[in-house]
Amino acid sequence: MTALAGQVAIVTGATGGLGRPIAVALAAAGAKVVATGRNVERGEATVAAITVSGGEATFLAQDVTRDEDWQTVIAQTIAAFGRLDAVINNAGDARLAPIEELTLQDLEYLLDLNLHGSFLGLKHAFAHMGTDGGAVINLTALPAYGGAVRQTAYSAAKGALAHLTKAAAIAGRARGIRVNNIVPAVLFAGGEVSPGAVRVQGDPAAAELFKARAIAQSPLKKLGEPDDAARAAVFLCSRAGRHISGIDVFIDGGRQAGGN
Amino acid sequence: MTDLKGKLALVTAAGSPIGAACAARLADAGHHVIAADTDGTAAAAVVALIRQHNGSAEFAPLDASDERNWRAMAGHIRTKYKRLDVLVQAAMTLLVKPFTETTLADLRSLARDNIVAPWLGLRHCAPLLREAGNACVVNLTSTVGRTAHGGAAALSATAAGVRMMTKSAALEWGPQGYGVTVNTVNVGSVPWRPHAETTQDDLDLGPAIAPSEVAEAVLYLCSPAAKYITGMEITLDGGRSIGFPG
Repeated sequence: MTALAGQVAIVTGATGGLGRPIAVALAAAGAKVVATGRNVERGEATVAAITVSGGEATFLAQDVTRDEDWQTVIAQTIAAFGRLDAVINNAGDARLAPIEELTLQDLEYLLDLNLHGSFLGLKHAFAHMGTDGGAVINLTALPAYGGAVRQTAYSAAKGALAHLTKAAAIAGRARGIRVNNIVPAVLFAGGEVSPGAVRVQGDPAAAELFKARAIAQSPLKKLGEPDDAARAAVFLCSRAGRHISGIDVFIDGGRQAGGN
Repeated sequence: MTDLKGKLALVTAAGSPIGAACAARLADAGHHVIAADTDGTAAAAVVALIRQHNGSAEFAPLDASDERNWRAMAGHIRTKYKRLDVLVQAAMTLLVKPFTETTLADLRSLARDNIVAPWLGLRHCAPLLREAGNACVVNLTSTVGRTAHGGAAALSATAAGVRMMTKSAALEWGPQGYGVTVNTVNVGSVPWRPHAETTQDDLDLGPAIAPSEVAEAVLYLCSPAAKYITGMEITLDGGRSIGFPG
């Protein structure tokens, strides 16, 4: 596949979760991928997964909440590949608890990682994307679009990010920079799970319960796979997505469509 | 019964620029396309073009706002193919008129073309879509159903109606276990019908969108890559309808 031939993409949090399948899918579509994250070993494993099938990728250690790290990542990306076409702000985290138990530190941590980190990614993308424009994708979640139990802090952080995307999409219009949200919920494959499911990792009984509930809540009555989100990213970065900006691509089996 | 090598797709308003592009793209991706339209000449030309490119297609007359027409269409598909894998409803009638000059007849006519027609399509194709297993429906409508537009009250109302009708069908059909996905593509500035009294030029809907780009979005929603996407909307307008662009 060559939908992204010639493109250069940065994927944050490409050390696991959805970051790895997104990085792999972009590379499989022909993009040169800069995979970033905090865990070198897991980041190198993502690069290996790409190069083994003939793709081109490199890993750079990065804490997305640090502006200096972004400067380094952008400089090295331009030095290695000469251009920047896509930034996938995938790095993020969730902390789920009743509001009485959440601390200000929890909220600040979630804002830092989910909102401020993606904001820096956007700023640097806008500064370094060329005259051809490009694509920025932010990863949000269903609690960004409505309240959810135990997710006050997470809703606030992802909700802010979802709207940052829309404002940035308007800002990017004149330059051909498109900014969209991908909203995964709930995606399972092997051991990889979405944020809501992290808390049940290592507890098979709880994981089964979580999966059963997610299936029951999904209008399609099934779980999605990380690759569903990865292929949405390829679509948004490709020429087919050239007039798509400011939208929310829900990969959720129809949950956001309404309730009944 | 005819055995199909690929999947079967029904495209309404196939003689319109968007319908024609969707029909051609689906045929190119291996579907047998039923190109349906009231305008036989335009749809027949689309069929001829698809065949020229070694694709597979047939023309079928359809007035999508007439229930008897849909019954006949569903009967034809059931007899010949037994199932329907893809339904793309590409008809859209535009009307730009000040609110106080818009008559009840205008509203009724627009509701008939823009809401009743795709509702009938969903209603009568439902059993055939279930038969297919992993079928998908894409309803196309205008971005004025997302962001209201002065001088287009009836149009905005009917376009918004399509969005909610589509989501409701997604919520209803998903749980029945047939795997039918139902999504909307909102399109900005695009030629819905050439020579129409009202065209997209009467509205300021953002950059010109090529029908082929609409077809790419439709094809994505009909591909295995989008199998977990239902009740969702893709908006193709370069970001015009996001918020408050100033």
